[in-house]
Amino acid sequence: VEGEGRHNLKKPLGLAGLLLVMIVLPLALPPYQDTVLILFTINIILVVSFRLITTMGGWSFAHVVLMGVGAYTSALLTTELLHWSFWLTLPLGGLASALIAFVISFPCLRTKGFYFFISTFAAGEAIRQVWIRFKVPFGSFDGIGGIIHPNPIFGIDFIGLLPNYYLVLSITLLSVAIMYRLDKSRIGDTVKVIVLSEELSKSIGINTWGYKTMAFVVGSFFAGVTGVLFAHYVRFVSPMDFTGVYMFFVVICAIVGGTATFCGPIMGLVVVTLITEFLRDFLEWVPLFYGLFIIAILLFLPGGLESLLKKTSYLGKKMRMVSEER
Amino acid sequence: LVGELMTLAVAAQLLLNGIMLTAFYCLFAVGLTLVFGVMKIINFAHGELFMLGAFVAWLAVSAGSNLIPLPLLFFLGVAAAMVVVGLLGIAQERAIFRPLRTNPLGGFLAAFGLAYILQVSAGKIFGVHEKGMPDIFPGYLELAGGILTFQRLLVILMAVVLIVSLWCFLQRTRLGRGVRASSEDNEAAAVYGVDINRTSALVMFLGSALAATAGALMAPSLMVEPYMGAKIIWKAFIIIIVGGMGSIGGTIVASFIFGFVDSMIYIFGEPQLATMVDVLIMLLVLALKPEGVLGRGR
Repeated sequence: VEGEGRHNLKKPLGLAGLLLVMIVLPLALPPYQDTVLILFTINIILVVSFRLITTMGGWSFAHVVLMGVGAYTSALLTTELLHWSFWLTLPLGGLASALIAFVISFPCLRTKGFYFFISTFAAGEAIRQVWIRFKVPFGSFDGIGGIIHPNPIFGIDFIGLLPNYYLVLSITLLSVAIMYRLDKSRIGDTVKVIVLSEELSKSIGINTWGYKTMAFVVGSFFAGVTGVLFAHYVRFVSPMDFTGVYMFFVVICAIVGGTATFCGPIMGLVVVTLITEFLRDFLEWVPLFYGLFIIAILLFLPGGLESLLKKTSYLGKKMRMVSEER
Repeated sequence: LVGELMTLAVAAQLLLNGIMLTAFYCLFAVGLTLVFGVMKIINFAHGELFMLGAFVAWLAVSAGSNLIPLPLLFFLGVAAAMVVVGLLGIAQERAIFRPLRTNPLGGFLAAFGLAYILQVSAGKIFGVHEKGMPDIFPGYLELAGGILTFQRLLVILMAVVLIVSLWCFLQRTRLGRGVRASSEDNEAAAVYGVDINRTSALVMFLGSALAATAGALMAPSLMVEPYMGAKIIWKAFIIIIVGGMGSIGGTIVASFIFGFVDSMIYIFGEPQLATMVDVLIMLLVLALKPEGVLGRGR
């Protein structure tokens, strides 16, 4: 993979700059924008983990519901009865989502293509109905309220917006770093090769089923982590938090940014979040604009925004070559 | 003796409910199967076409109240729903599916987008409040203690008529054979002179009209609102998975399975439980026979 040069200082410098912006930004913004920024930061894990699953060729339409599984798990374990610590339930919420993903992975991955999309969609719907059906312990439509703030650690409590933001930012950075390493590793490459030709991969002895399951389970683990962060930030979860519209939002981020590169969905998330904020006064119109937007992108820019960047950098390279020849 | 009568009545009711649900599921899902067979795309907006069909019937019934008798008005509404939504299906094929023919995932996601466009539009035009309809065919049949309203009887009769006509159309006519040929192998069919564009437009018309018919016929029994399609689209998904994608016979068999399973669970007043059991059946079928009960072993 080109552009991975170790002596290239552009990338680390750019990342450091970005990090600095992310750290300073909330200090400069009014409280409302801070709340948007927190949800945006949480959503970064969600879209990056969604993209991780897409690298194996299946788009999990249960992703947002599996985020909900993490949220409900942590909400239940930290409230009245058990009083477990947020720091313990953070990974446990992820594991709960991963476990459910693993259970449904076998049937859902038995076939290719659309089967995975619509069977995960149906499975997600069934999980939502579990939350609605069982008033104890899930609270039905009322959901679960009074979820605790993350427990204090190193003498920091997480009651105000800023501490919550930095908590979310740290977990997001850690999660994204882990997924980045995985994506660039041999495992990540193998997953992508399987999509190119499953038959060929099988014939050279790759356990295609194992790799696809792993991508789905790991991606779902991070969806669960997202859910825990969401639950302890909003401090209330209900089945209406994890509906098709949220799933649609994640899919749009992936389409708008593109899924071929690691950064694609994050770019998509930035654009879609900004558009959503511009449309804040027309809330009930938002899904319609999303719909028009997604169709326009699919028809006119099927590779997403990342394909624009690739084009310019390709052009840039060509132009450099031409000028060097002169 | 009373206990025995009760169980007989309950059994009869279960049977009648099961048949009605089977008819409804069949009408709802068969269009999705037809479209997938030829175009290899799942139309995510299928539920919204169903919803629009219900709205057209509701409009017809509530618009022209006193001049025309209610049942006639309702039938006009059903016919209008088929035509209007069928044409919308053709427009969808032309504007979205055709340009994305080489990109089935794109077509699927674009239809996902269209679903939300149609939901918001319906909400803006008709309002998001649930709309009830008057009783169009008052009265009911009583069979062995079970009750079947005339409205439900109509759903069953229409489903049988439409599915049989569809079957005859596909088996007996030149156009229908073209549809089946494209569904077997699009390219080979094209080589033998089947016009892909025309076949695609045709199946989108038929599939959308069938969804609209299901919506229009069920409108008096359900609440008409913009999200009624989104709420049950998963059911059509699991029916076509369990039946084997693209297989019309499989869709009918799967509709029977879910029609009767749901009928049994609904009698206990447990709609959410029905969802869970249905999805478990889907997962089980995928695990054991992933090509579906009547799928073409691919």
